[in-house]
Amino acid sequence: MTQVIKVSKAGKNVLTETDRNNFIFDSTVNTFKILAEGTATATITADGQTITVAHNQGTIPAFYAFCKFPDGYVAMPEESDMAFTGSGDRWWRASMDATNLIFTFNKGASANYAPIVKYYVFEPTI
Amino acid sequence: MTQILKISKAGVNVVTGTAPDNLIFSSDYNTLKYHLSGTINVSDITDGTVNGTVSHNLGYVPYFTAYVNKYATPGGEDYNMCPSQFQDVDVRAIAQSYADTANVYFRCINVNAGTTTYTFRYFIFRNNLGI
Repeated sequence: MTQVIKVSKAGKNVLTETDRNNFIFDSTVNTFKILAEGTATATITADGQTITVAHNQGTIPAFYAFCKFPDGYVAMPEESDMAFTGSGDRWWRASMDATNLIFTFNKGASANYAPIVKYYVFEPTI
Repeated sequence: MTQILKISKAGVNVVTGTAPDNLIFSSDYNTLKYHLSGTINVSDITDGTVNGTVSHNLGYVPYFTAYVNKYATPGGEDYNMCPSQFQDVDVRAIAQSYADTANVYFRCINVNAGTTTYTFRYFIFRNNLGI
């Protein structure tokens, strides 16, 4: 007999519940594991400047990242700073290859700035 | 000795199957943990003003994600991952989401009008970005 481990939400019968959204944990479905996480920063002095982080996975992994701009707000990839310092200024994106996570920044007409990137590397591969 | 909890996939020896993709769960690896989820309706604007705010009460910047329904009318559900840019006959807009230690913010900038309401679906996790 296959052994399973399930933890249901409060008020749900773990033996009879069938809706997976009502389980805190269910060993019959994979978990979305975070293999690595970290931060990176640099002073951006030109358009297209990159911050590169080796992910050390040997394959191209799923990942996600956030960026804290000098205005104090945290933005998703493909966004500018919330303050809209200038059109196309202080805008960033995130990409990857088999070796690195690559974070690319625009500076535009704004002053030099130092964004802080938080990245997560996940278990699934692309 | 460090104690760990692992559950392997069917057919994999949990003692020797160390690759993360052989495991259903491993306490060696963190996971995303839910905090809040919900929807918020945001009227579009023509400048950079934020006009949708959700308080998360965590005291740190959390991992968050958001989707936006680009159709304002019910029944036209088509959720796009934020940030999202879309263009239609009378709409040219960008939907964005940001966070700080108190709130998650939403705005939809429509350069043509500023008269439509969009629905954001958001997920906020307990994971601390630490930035």
